[in-house]
This record gives sequence, structure tokens and C-alpha cells, in this order.
Amino acid sequence: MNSYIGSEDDKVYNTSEKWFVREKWAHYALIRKDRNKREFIRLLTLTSIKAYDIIFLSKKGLIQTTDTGYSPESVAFCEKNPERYTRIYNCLPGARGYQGTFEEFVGAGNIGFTDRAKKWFPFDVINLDFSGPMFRHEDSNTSKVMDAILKMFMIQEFTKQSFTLFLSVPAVKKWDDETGRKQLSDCLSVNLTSQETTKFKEAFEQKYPSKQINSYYQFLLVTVPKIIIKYGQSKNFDVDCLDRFTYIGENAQTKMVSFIFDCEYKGLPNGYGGENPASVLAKVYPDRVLKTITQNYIDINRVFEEQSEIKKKCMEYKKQVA
Amino acid sequence: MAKDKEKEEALKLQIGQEQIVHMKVAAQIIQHLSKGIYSNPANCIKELINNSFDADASKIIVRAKPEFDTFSITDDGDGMNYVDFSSRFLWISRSDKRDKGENTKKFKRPIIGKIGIGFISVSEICDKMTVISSKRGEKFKFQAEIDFGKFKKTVHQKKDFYEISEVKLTNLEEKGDAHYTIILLNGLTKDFKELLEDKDIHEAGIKIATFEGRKFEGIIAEIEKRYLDTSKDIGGYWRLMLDVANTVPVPYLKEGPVKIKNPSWFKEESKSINNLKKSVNKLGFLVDFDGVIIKKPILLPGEKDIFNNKESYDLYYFEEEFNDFPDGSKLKLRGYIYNQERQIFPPHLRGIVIRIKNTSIGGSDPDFLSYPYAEKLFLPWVFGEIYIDKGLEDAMNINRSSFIITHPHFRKLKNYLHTKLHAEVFPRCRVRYTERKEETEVTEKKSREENIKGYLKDIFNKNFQIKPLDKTGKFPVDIDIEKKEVLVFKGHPVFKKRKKKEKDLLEEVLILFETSYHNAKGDLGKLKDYFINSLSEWANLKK
Repeated sequence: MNSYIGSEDDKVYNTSEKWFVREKWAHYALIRKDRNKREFIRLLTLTSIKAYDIIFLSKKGLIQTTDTGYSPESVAFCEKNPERYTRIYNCLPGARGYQGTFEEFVGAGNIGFTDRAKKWFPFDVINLDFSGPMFRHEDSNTSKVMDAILKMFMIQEFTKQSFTLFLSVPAVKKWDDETGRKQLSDCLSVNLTSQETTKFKEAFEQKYPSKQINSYYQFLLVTVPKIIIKYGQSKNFDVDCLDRFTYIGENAQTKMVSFIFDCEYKGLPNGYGGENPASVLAKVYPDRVLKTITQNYIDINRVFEEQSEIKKKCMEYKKQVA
Repeated sequence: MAKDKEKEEALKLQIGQEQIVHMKVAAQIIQHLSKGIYSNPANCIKELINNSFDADASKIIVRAKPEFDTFSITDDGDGMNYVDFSSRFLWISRSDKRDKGENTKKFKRPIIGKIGIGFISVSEICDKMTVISSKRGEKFKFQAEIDFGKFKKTVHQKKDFYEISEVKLTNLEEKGDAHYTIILLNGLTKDFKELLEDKDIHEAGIKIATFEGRKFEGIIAEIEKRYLDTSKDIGGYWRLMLDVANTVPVPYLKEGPVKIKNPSWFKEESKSINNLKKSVNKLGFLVDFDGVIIKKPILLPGEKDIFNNKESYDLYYFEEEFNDFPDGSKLKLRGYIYNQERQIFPPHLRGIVIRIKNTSIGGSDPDFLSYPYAEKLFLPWVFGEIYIDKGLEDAMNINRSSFIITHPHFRKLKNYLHTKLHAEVFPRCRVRYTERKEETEVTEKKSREENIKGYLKDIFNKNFQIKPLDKTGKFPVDIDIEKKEVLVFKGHPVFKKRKKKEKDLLEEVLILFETSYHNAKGDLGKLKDYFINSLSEWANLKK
């Protein structure tokens, strides 16, 4: 059914750049499926109105479908806006839909989890594709979104479930507030002063001789993985940032940064035997944070300029799913 | 104004003087109505889907599963602007749907809605409703958030009108060629949710059928295959789906409503029913219910009732018009009646469905509008649908599920149906019943004889003949081992004044006794043992 909200949504979610990222999602989702030894993945997503990511992953055989739609165990989504929620739901018969934000879904800012979170978790793949600001605090000390991400790690830890996290956020400085930016800066400062991460300090100063990251998207490309690694570690997950992207969609105005994180649960099964997870995580930590500086990120717009055949391929995905 | 009227009509009766006053309706009635006009929440959903039909929608999408946290209905119909919304939703019973004619503009569908009261019932099943709609040709949409929650408490206060919800309206930008209506129900009432989740049934530990991930045709096949009674063997959600499918004007199943095994049978009737089916399918109304494209759940006969003999079925098609009402009104109908030689399965396909404006009123009535004759045995053998093309609408009760039984149109329809059943359908059933009864008797008799012969062969190692004789003898049964004959003296007094089944049983027991007697050769102790043993063996043999 034709709609303004649908075509506006397409400007953000149906760009060749987004399809480039989606292709990567499919690749890593397949790896996760095999590692978790599952026939199909259990996906939680903040999806587009036409549910492109789910349809794409489903075409790749990663999502469980039925004769009439989707298996509820395989697909869950959150969306607050009633029109968007209904339109997404219309594309996904049989899937689990939560009419609320991701933050509300996990019960960010409250003690405990919501009934729905308790029932639907764990997931193998979580796709947090935010189109709005991630680091806004309003009245609280921590951003609701960040609190929700921490809760997500908590509940995955509770179920001892390793997972892959896709995280996309707009790199718009004015959308995030000062407290949020400070939270990210502090996270960076810690590693620049810590004895454990001297290699990080060296690499940072080599890459940024002025000791400052001037562009906001580059700042996010470094700080967001750092904070996710930190959150993950606090809940016994070894978080490895597998890929980082930046892009501006062909019809969009907003610069985006996108990450793929491997979140491997290192807690002890049943709480007995084996190496202490804290020491396991402490060993890998310096390398994980170092990687946020040394790892190359992919500027999708530049890739398209240099390799038009890749853009062509992504445009084909667009056509296939449409 | 109401106060003035009340003052004007204040009673001041004096002896011998007349005073004219008027009966009035108090506004509280709306508050009572808003608490519930339907016996079943499914009716609220049906009403919302019927609204989409009246809006010339070609596709409706319903979403509720798997969690039943929300219930949404989206259509691609003409849509509304806030002015339309105001007249149809903000004022109860001010429907303007038929102001511009009896049919819809695009598909020329007969408009279902009339009173404008269906929407009020939504508050029965949820606390909050969001309506988002864009009218064809307009470049904006509106969003209305309706909060029923705080108005659910009864207020004992007299008012000119009652507020039954609080509505927050917003206008937003939209594309000019967009036209749709989205209805999202939030905060489903505990009772409605538990009904859909079958909470009571699960708690009672009763097993019920579900059809997860099945297409509609698969669901129907499963119900039929497993002889499921849709009124109790399936869950509340599936019942709701079937109920909606049976009520709203969706198309028939590809092979439905009646698939005739041999195309040469009931040629004329089949052709007419096919035309009726085409007229319904032409309405172009497609409902996607959680991914299941629903159709009318009517497919007769069931797989197990496909007989090779034409005589096993009857099919009647009829069209009728009645013009003899004192008020000059008309009643015009068309329909069919299907009948088979035994009970129809599944049970929801027993009865008569009355459809006004293509929408069924109260589902299938197994009592055929209170069929009065002593032929109730045959009612479960019959199914029919009657489409009312003109009239009967005023005979409908406000809940659209039942009729005012004193209304002349209803009485006419009832008499017509009863006469049709009594004079045409059931005489055939009676003939078929008698024929089948006779056939069964012959088969049973043959089977009984075979059993007795088999038993005698086991005992005497000989093949016996059973000879029934009308005369009486010294004993009611005698065995002649030499001649290999069992003589049954049907005229013997022990057989007199007994029902047929008793006579048959007695005959069998007496043969056992005679057999034991012959074997015991005068030893009474042995006779007793043999007879008791033979009764046990006989029971096993009969199995």
C-alpha cells in the first residue's frame, strides 16, 4: 500500500549503500548460525517498513519461514510508531512484534526485564539499526539506548548465548548531547591513560598526532566499539568488532556509521571448572581495543566510486527484494 | 434544549383532561451500549472488516499472532479524512455511509453498514485504538488516538450526551495517490487476550487443535480429516478466524461450496450455484489474516462422504421474490440447499446461513430458524446458504447476529425455508433413510448368520444351515447334527411380544444353549460349564 512514510523510509533503508551493509550482515549471520549450531537464526531487529533485512536474510535461508509467513522463534522486531509498526507487521505475518522502542522492550531505565524480553530472548543475531540519536540522556546519567544495550548483554548473559550484533547509528554530532559525547570521550581517555593498553595509546597517537579526532563519524568509529567492548566484557562476553562502515545513502542526508560485533559468551557453563572468564577476557581486551584504531573501516561511498560493479551488485539486491 | 422539552412535557394531569407527551431515549443508553452489544468479541473484528469492505478495499491485512499484544487491520480502501472520521467515529449512530446510495462507488458493492454503531463495540475488546487514514486524492492523512480506558467506569449522572472515549487527532503529510486506513488496537482486554490464547482450555489440560503456518485450504482439510468440531475442538483464535471467514464477504474456496463428483449430476443446480459463487468472488475482497488468505470455509461433501451414487445427495437451488407485504416492501432471495445421506462433518457445515449484503447473520444455524416438524433427525444432514438481495435488513437485531422473530420478512423467510425442507428436502431424506435402514438390516442379518455358522463349525466341525420357521416347535431352537441344520421356530411363545433386536439376541443365546446341551450329553454340571464358556467365546467371536 503506497504511502508517504513508506517512500521516506525507502530513502533511508533502500539505498545501494544499505544493501552493501546488508550483504555483510547476511555473511556474518550465516557464520553465527553455524557457530551456534542452529538450523535458522533467531533475529531481533529494528527494521525498515518493508522489512528488507528480514526478507533478505530469509532469501538467504537464514530465517525460518512457514507456508503463511515467518516463524515467531526466528523473527522479532520493535517499533514504536503505530503506522510503521503496523506496516512492518503487515510484511511479517507470524513474526513477533513489539510496539515500543528497543529501550522499552528490554526495560531500559527500570529494574529487571520486561515480560516480552524475558520470553523472547535469547537471540543469535541482534540488528540495532538506529535512525535516530543513540547518545541522548535527557534527565538520566546514561543514555536510554546505551542502558538498553547493556541490558541486552545482561539478558544474553543470563541465557549464556553468544551472538552477533549489528549496530548502525547516525553520525550527527548535534543529535547526540554533551553528556553522551562526554561518555564516549571518557571511554577513549581511559584507554589512553591505562597501563593495560599502552599499545592503544601508541597507535592512537600515531594515527592522530594532534591527539584529537576531528570528524564526528571517525570519533564514533573508534568510541562506539570501545564502549560496546566494555559493556560486553562486563557481562562476560568477548566482543570483537569484525567490521566497520561509514556511508551516506544516495537519497539521504545523514552520515551513518555501522558496526558488526562478534559477542562470544565466555562465562563458565554451570559455574564450575575451566579458566575464570575475567582472566580470559582480560587477556584479549588489549587486542580488542587496539583493533578499534588499527582496523581499517570501509567507506562505502568511496568503494562505489572506485568499484562501480559493486554498486551495480547492490542495486541488484534492491531489485530482487522489491 | 433537552431541559426545555422536559419542562414543556412536565406532567400536569387533571381529572378529565388529556395531555400528550412523548417517549424519549436517555443518553445513558449509549453508555450501556458501549459496554457491549455483541455476545462474541469476534463480532467487533467482523464489524471493522466490514467497514473496509464498505470503503471499497480490495485487500485487508489483519495481524494479531503470535503474541496478541495488538490487533491491527489495514485496508487499501478509500480512506477517510478527519471530517469523515468525525461523522463516522466521533458520533455513534450517525453513519453517513448510505447517504450517497446503497452501493459503493468503485466496486458497486452493496453497503453493509447502516446504523453506525459497530465501532462502539471496539471498546469491549481494547483500551486504546489508533486510526490512521488517508482519503483517496487528498495529500494528507490523519491520526486519531482513541483512549477508551478511563471512560469504562459507569458514571451515574444524567447528561444530554455521553463521552465514551478521549480522542487525540493529528494531521500529517501524505502522498496524493495514497489511500488506506490502519486500525491498531492496543491494550487488548485481559478476557479477549485470554480467549485468543485459550488460557482456560490450557489450564484445564484439554488438548485442542492448532494450525500454525498452514494455508486456509490446509486448515479446512485438517478439520475435515480429523472430524474436528470447530465449536470446541479448536482454539479461540482459530475459531475467530473461521468465524470471520464465514461472515465477511470473502470468496469461496476454489472447489467450494459444493464439489460434485460427477459433472453430469445436478447440472442445472451446479451451474446456478457457480453463478452465485462468481457473484461473491466478483466482489474482489481479499482478507489476509496473519498470512492466511481466508475464504468461506464451506466445502461439501467431505472427503469421507464422496459417494459413487448420485442418489446419496440432493442439491436444490432457488430464487424467490415476495411482494405481498402490507407496507409494500419486498423480500428477494437466492440460495441453495445441500443434503447427503448421513450427518455432515465437520459440524459447522450443518445448518443454514443467512447472508444480508453478503454478510452472514450469526453464522450457521443448525436449527434452521427453529424448524418445527418432527424431522430433526435429518437436520444434521443438511447445509444451505440464503443470500438476501432485498429486504430483511430491518429484521436484524442491533448485534447483527440474530433476527427479530416477529418481523414480517423474517417470518416469510422462515416459512419459505421450512416449507422447502418439509415438502422437498426431507421426504427425500426419509426415503433414503428407510432404504439405508433396510440395507443395514440385511447386512446385519447376514453377518449374524455367518458368525453363528462359524461358531457351530468350530464346535461340531460341520457346515450348518440355519432354517427360520414361522411355526412353533417343542423348543424354540433345535439342532439336528445329522442333517447339519439349526431350526429356529419363530412362532414359539418365547419370541412373542419382543422387539426385533431382543428376538435376535435370544435366538443367538438359545443356539448357544442347544449347542452346550448337545455337547454335555445329559451331564448337568457340564451343561452349565459349556454354556457359560460358550457365552464368553460367543462374545469374542462377535468382536
